[in-house]
Amino acid sequence: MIKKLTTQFLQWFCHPDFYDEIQGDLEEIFQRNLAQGNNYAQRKYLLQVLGLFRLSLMRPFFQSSLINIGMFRSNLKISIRILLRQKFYSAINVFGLAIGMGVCLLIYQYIQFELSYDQFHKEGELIYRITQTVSKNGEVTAKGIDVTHGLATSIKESIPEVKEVVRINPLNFGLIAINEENNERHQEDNIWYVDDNFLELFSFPLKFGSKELVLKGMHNIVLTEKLAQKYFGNINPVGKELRISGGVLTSNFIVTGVLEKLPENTHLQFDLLMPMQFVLKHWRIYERGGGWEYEDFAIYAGIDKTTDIKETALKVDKITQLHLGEELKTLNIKIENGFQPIEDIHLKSAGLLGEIAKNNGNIKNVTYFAIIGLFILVIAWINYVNLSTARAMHRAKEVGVRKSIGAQHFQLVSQFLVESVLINSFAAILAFGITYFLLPILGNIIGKSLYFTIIQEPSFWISFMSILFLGSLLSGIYPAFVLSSFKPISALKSVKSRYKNGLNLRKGLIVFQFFISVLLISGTYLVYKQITYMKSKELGFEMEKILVVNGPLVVLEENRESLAILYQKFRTESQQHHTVKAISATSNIPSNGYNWSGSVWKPGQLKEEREIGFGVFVDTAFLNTYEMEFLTKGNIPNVIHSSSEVEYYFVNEEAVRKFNLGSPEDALGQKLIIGGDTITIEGVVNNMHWSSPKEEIKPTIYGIDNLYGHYFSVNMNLANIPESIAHVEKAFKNSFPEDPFEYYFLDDDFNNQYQADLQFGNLFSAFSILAIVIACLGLFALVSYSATLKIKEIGIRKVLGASIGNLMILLSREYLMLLVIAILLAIPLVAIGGNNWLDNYAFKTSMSSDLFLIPPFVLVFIAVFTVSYRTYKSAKANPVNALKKE
Amino acid sequence: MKTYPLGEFEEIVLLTVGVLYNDAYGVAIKDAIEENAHRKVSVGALQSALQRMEKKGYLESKTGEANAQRGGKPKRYYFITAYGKQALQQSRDIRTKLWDAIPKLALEFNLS
Repeated sequence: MIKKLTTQFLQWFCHPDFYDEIQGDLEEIFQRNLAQGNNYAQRKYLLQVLGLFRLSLMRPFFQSSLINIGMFRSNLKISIRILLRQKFYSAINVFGLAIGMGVCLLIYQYIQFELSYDQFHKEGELIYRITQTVSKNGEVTAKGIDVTHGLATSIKESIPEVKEVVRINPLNFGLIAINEENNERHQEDNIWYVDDNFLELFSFPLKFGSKELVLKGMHNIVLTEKLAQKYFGNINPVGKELRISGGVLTSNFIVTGVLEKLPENTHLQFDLLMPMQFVLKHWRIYERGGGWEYEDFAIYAGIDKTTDIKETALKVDKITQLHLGEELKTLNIKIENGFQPIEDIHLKSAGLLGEIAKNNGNIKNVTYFAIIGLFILVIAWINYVNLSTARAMHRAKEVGVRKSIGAQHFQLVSQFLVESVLINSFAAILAFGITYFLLPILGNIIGKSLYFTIIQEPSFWISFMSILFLGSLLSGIYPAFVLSSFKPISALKSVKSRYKNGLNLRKGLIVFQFFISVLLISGTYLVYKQITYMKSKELGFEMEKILVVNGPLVVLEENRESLAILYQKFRTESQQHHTVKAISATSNIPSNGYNWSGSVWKPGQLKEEREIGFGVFVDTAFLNTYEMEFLTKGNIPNVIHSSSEVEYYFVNEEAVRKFNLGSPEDALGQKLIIGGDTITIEGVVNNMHWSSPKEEIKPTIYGIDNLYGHYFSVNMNLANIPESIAHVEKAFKNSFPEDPFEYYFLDDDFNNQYQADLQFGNLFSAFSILAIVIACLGLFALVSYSATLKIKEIGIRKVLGASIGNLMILLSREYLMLLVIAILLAIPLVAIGGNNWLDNYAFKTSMSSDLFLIPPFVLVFIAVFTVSYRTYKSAKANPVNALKKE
Repeated sequence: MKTYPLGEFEEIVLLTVGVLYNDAYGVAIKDAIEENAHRKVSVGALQSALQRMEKKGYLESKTGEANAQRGGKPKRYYFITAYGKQALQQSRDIRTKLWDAIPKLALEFNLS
């Protein structure tokens, strides 16, 4: 059987001249081998035939087929010769295209990465997250993912199609983890309390421990690889004890599992998983209102296959109505629940509030980059079209000769298309190399490690090949038709008329290239301008001077009464050093959000007019530390000792405006109702930027609580930083010996808020630079080309006395005009697009004239620089050489 | 001097064709090489070497008789041409010359 098929195969490919002989030899050997068994002989036969499958023994294929391979081969040969003859232009063409394609591949890979978020979960298409839209009088006031844990319980009880419900409480403050064996203690800021089926819903593989057992039980926790390494080194920590310290949440826990390193493409980024039961039991406030009061939880649900998700959402609405109906009615609020597929979370969570919703990507940015990628590729193709049509003159003779000996239109077109395919294919190969090298750099910019994964997907190859093919066709077809349309007589005769061919199109394309370049440079400029603006904005305090020390938590396990004494001790001892000016204990620090938000109103105010307020707790040293002052002040004592009840409140100017309290003086002594409690305003302070200037300044209510020390802010003189820090550390250790001393400067933390913008800016500028490089390559080649065309003219002008400057202007004038046109066209678009983009920011830089002057100036400079080398060389050349040639 | 390009494997094939004289066809050549040079020869390598040398003019061939053992396919016998002889001669001369040029001392090994 094998033998028969193999023989047929041999007969098919083998040259008929040799077939008889070879087959005879094989048969003879086969017969001989039969002595050692049929199978052996057949196998040998097959191997021998495969060995015969070589070019020298093959019959000439396609000779009699319909495809004219001979013609194709001749086209290919001529194309290669032409490319080699014009090395300079070919190189520019290939490099330009390669960079363009490389950038495209890069962006494609980046987009694939962004789209790959949370695709790896088993049955991921059935996992949803619950979102809530709060609306008031039909107007949406908030949209977020933070819900109550009671909702989860009810959903699980009463909606059968919801198979799994996982609650996540991402604690918005840090706790201290202690491994007592080696006295390793640090504050951990990324601790999640989760339900015990967390790892059943989400597919995070375990390095140690088994999926069914971990997290089951009050004190069983799961570490990520990073944390296991930090506290236990390289050993398997399963079964070891880890103490978590932080007030009521303090306890000893058993490590039951260690996760493999978390994939980068998941929005669930945590360091430590702790049992949900524990926080529900120990944090009493969660029991209030039957678990329907505190919205600190995110709910993820695994749904049954056949479910209509919209109907399920309606069922959830009913549950909400059942539990909160009365309350919602008095507040005149409507809550709608939604299910967000887990695959959508990364890119489509813009505008959602909530701790887990924070570090998400943005579908807008992805679209921006897709468009940039496309532009860059188009620029590269335009280069090709421009150069090929410009070079038409050299090819005209060839076309003329071909035509006069009878070449048909179709044959000529195919010749030029082969050339285009060839250049595009070379460029594509180079592009892979470029992408391979640039990928780590791109990864660096976005802070993720990217791998060249797309090449493993067949769908990528299909689209890549079709784009390559289409691109070759599109960029080849115009030059092909232009070149092949020459009349043989004129092609063989004159020169001038042919250069004019396609001149207008070429000009149009150059204008388009520069138009895009102006847009990209202006975009880059605007992004950086906005970031610089935000960074240099007066925040209302000097963050460079403020050192943040994580507040003590282990000490909270002791008697709370003594805390005030310890705080005071720390304060006094620190301030003994001359560089330390003031220390304040606060519940939160700028850039890190608020501790509380909710409806705030004046007594008797209409429900419809109520506004949302935000609150933090500070001590009496707060204003001094942050160098703020009371605009008006009631009877707040300068120092309050050992108070655990918050008695005094002050607000910022924005709150005075928002809550309609009149002037700061009027506000003094007025009452506000905050979630049932009534407070009296005892002071008004000036506004400060608690968050980055991306966001509005929020109406803020400061409550004075001297013992709410999640953070200490130390205002210090920067004269001798190491010494000052050492001093503060000593004072800290004296008062809180069990707590780790961990610190950072506020500006580092604050500037982290700009990271996404910076990334966007860096990416934008990187891609713009590449786009400009490609455009300039094309420009350079075109100018070089027109210089060679005008070589005689230059020679004559020079002989007649033209200066080098004159000649350079003569050569570049044409292109500079195009540049000006491109700039004029781009400016309105920059204005519109820039305004649009700036709308993302509450505090925005001005769209002043520099935005319309500097980027075009940069481009003109680059363009002049590019062409001047070439024009200078041509203008400098000895005119004798130019005039001698004929 | 005219040079005759001749690969190492080609040389062995050419010599073997000479050795077998009137009896040099595919399988016989293969067997002879395997026996004398102690190396495995695939039909593919052999055939392409034969075709190549025929093209170069070192070999000529004629179709021989068919028999049942070969499934009715004829044998093809190969003969060395004058060109082939020149090529072999040249290759041999080069080697002899090189051998002679080696100083005695270079090859004096104590093999005991």
